[in-house]
Amino acid sequence: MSTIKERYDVLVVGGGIAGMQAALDLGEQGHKVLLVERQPSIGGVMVGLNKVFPTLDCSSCICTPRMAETRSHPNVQVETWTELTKIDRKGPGFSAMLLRKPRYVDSDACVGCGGCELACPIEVPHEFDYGLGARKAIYIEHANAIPQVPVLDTANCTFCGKCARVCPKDCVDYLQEAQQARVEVGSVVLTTGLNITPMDAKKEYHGDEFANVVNPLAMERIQSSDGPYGTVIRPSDGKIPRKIAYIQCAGSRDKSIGITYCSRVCCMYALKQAVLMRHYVHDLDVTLFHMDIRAFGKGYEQFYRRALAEGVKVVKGKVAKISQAENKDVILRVERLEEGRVVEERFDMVVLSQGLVPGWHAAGVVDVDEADDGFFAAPQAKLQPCATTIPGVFAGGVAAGPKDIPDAIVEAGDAAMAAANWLQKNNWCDATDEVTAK
Amino acid sequence: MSDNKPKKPIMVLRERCGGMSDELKAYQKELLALRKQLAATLEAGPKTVPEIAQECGLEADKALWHIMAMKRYGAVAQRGQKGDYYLYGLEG
Repeated sequence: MSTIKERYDVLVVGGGIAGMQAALDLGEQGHKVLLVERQPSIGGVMVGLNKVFPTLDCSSCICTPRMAETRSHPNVQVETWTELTKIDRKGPGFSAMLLRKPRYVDSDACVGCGGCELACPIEVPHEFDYGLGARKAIYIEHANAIPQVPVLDTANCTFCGKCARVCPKDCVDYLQEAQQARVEVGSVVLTTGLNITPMDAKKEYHGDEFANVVNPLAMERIQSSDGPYGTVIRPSDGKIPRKIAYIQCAGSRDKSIGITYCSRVCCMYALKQAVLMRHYVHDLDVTLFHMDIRAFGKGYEQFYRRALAEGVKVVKGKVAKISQAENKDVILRVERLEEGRVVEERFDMVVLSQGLVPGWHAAGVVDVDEADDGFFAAPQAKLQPCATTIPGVFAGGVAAGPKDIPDAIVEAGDAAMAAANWLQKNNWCDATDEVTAK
Repeated sequence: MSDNKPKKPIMVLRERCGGMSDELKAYQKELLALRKQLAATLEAGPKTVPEIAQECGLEADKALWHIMAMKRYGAVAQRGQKGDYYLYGLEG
């Protein structure tokens, strides 16, 4: 197991695509970086996506090399399965408390063979697949996980001991305990990512009740070849869907659920999924019901045109409510605005285009302010968008507000540069060199 | 002296975690029974999820979850298609 040192130049909190970018940018400049990730693997949301818009590149094919680069960078130390519990100012820098959770596996000895997972006798819903697939009590988070080291979920463990018995390297360690560590850092970059609006936010959509009403990230997993089904079928009975609807702004731009902002990515991910769905299921009927299509990024308008040309139906319409047929088909009551009529339409599946909400709140850990929308406040939104209300603490990626992957990467780079400037201004690195020399 | 024998590490962990909850015990019992039932159903040949669900008296979404879990860990494989449904059969 790696040793957490007493001092680093920068602490990056969150190992998604933005966190990895910030860590690599700082590492390339020669700064010593500690990147902490609370999940068993780095990669964040992006590594679970099927493809990215507008290029339709395989998401994990782009993300996984970046994960490997981050893990192997000589100036970046990656600590997964580790929580940040407190940050306090200390001198020109910060003192951070970390909690390394026990994996019950010796990370150094494990070769990631997966033998323990195969031997484990219990299967439970897998969070990475939004409950649609299964995992064991001891499991490697996903096929592209970095590190390829399992974690043992003691809440679902049968304590049979089989995982230790089959391990060829004797690396299952039931006596491992949580470890606390205190580190001093010169600057902090918060790249804590996103969640999506809860599926029960709009009661009239029954997103938490109807099996064939799914969230967009679950649909990413359904579409992924390494997803829970390995093919596109619907969750209620395994039927190949023939007719699918997307409901746009199902979790954003909606005062009734307290989320008034536009999440900026929903139009594009819905169009992307709709296009791909027609690639996966021949002649599939797919309709997006929307208020308006926002295709603002580079190549996005062209992708929207491509979706239309490929047969995706884009309808200006407001879905008032969702009900369920006896065979679990989904019935939408829709006001088709351009036709001026209210209709009921039946679909095999419906995707609620949920919005983005913060993946983590700082309350009780670091005294950084949040804006009204819950994302980190940016007091210099125009001139230094990555600055937070604490000098020396910077935010990047979706932690600072909803954005797509290219914007998250750009902003993470900005946060890394701001952190590097902060270190320079405070002569932090000279002091680190002295500590290292001693 | 058997009293002084050190506890096996798995027993130490079990004690630290308070053992298996009653809920998990019931879940595992049901899981094992269901897997036997599903395997027996598929002995006769590949079936769709609704067919499997009907034969086993399960909700179709639950049958799908278990079949997909069995597929993931190598007990079941996809075997062709029947209408809008894939067929699943025992592996090997």
